Amino acid sequence: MSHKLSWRDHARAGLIALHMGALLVMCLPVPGRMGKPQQNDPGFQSQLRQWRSVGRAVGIQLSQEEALALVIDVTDVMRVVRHKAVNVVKPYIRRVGAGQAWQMFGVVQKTPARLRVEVREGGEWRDLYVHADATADWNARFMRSERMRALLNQYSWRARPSSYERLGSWMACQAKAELPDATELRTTMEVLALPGPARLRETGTIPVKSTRWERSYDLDTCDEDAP
Amino acid sequence: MNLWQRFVAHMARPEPTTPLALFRICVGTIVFGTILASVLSGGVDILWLTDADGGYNTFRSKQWIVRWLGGHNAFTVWVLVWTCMLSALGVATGTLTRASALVCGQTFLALMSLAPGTGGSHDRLITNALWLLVLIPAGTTLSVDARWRTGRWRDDTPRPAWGRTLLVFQICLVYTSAGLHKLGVSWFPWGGYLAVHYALLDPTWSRLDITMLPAVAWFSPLTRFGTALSWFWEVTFAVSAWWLGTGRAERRLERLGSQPTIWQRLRHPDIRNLYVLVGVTMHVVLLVFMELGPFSLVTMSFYFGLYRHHELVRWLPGTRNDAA
Repeated sequence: MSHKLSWRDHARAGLIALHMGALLVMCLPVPGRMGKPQQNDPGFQSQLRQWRSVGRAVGIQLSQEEALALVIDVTDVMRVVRHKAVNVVKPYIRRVGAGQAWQMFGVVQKTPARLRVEVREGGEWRDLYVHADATADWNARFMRSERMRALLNQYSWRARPSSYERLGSWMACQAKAELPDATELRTTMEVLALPGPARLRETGTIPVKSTRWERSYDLDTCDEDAP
Repeated sequence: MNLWQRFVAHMARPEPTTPLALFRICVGTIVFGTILASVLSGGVDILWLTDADGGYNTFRSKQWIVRWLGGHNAFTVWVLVWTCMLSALGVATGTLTRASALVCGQTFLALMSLAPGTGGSHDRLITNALWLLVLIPAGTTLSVDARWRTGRWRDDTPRPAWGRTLLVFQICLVYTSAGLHKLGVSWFPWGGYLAVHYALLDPTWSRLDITMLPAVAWFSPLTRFGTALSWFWEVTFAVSAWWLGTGRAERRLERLGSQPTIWQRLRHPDIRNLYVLVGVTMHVVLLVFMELGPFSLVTMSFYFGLYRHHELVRWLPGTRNDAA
């Protein structure tokens, strides 16, 4: 360092340190709330079982219920601590857009769900759009766009069901305008069971495990003035 | 020198701001591109407009700029879209750089408030990057501002190095935090290192048609290796910053001399380059096989902070001699 440090250098470094400190606080882990739906989620139950077996390997014996209680206690404490710390820096962080939540692929879904949209024409159902399927790619430019994909990811995690229904209504009106013979539109989330490498090599397919969130829309009820 | 004085001195040491300028150009271009993609795909009309204006959404944003512009309606949304794109061009070209970054960041935040659930980590990283561009002297060189101020596009006047330090700090936070949040068993040996395998198969993220997805199974050794490597790489990414910040990069160059052989380079590897090489490879794979928006591009923009001016200008056209 060739020059003597001035008060400006110190003041600037102080502000930088405050900024860095605020970012560090925002980086504290954000555990989700462990309500009944989350506790009963098969994916979570499976994760918990596997972590219990890791615990057993190092001499920690916990039943499924004890492990669940431990997870709930730990996440509750973490949420309270984080909430208190974050409240101090939140006004600054929110105004400048410096949020720090980077839980990217923390838990990878083994049973993701994809959107299937069907229309009934002449009494027969046919696929209109199936996500990641080139044979049914209605409105693909929008449906496969990045922001729409983000929304589909929410539905895959069972989040935003009301948004899902509004999107269905919007698609019904679009279908009515574009497909004069269509009378009904149906949306479903198809739950896939992702196989491991050996099983996938053997079968060569990704099976559908179940369906959920099936909604039907009578196209005649779509408001003519609606888009 | 005590710890605080060392921190102050580290932030105040002068250096030319080429890394910040390259970061700025990338971020501005990416923001322009991501908003343009929303316009072209119909995302603005369908996701950001409300049902009253032809969109699907009944949600009404209460964000302060949205309210100031008259509420969540078509006029407000399109004013935000065009202002954001115009200011992104200002950021990319370095025109009124700090003001452009502030406008771009705030309008981007307003746009992200219009339809909850339609964004991702890349949006958060973009708003972080734009706020950094308000704070740091990123318009000093390779900018219209430099042209107005000095009559030349380039201005290598040294400025305090804290701007580059903040870039490095931010990218270290992103990777370290992402690594520590990876608690799913498929990231670990007891889960078979299958996280990348499952992520590539998830149709929500995959760019591949579902009929092509089973091919992923044949690359199982690679996806397992990728899982183990990416977790370790993320958690330890701060090592690259430590390597840079403690002057090891310079000491390595001194040790190598002016014309090092390949053997000498291998014997004394630049740890930063190893981390960057893994990062670029990982992000290119993500770009090719997964639909993650501009996440990879905006993340890699931060890598410029890991290199100093004299290391970067060797690669810029017409500036090779400046590196000496």
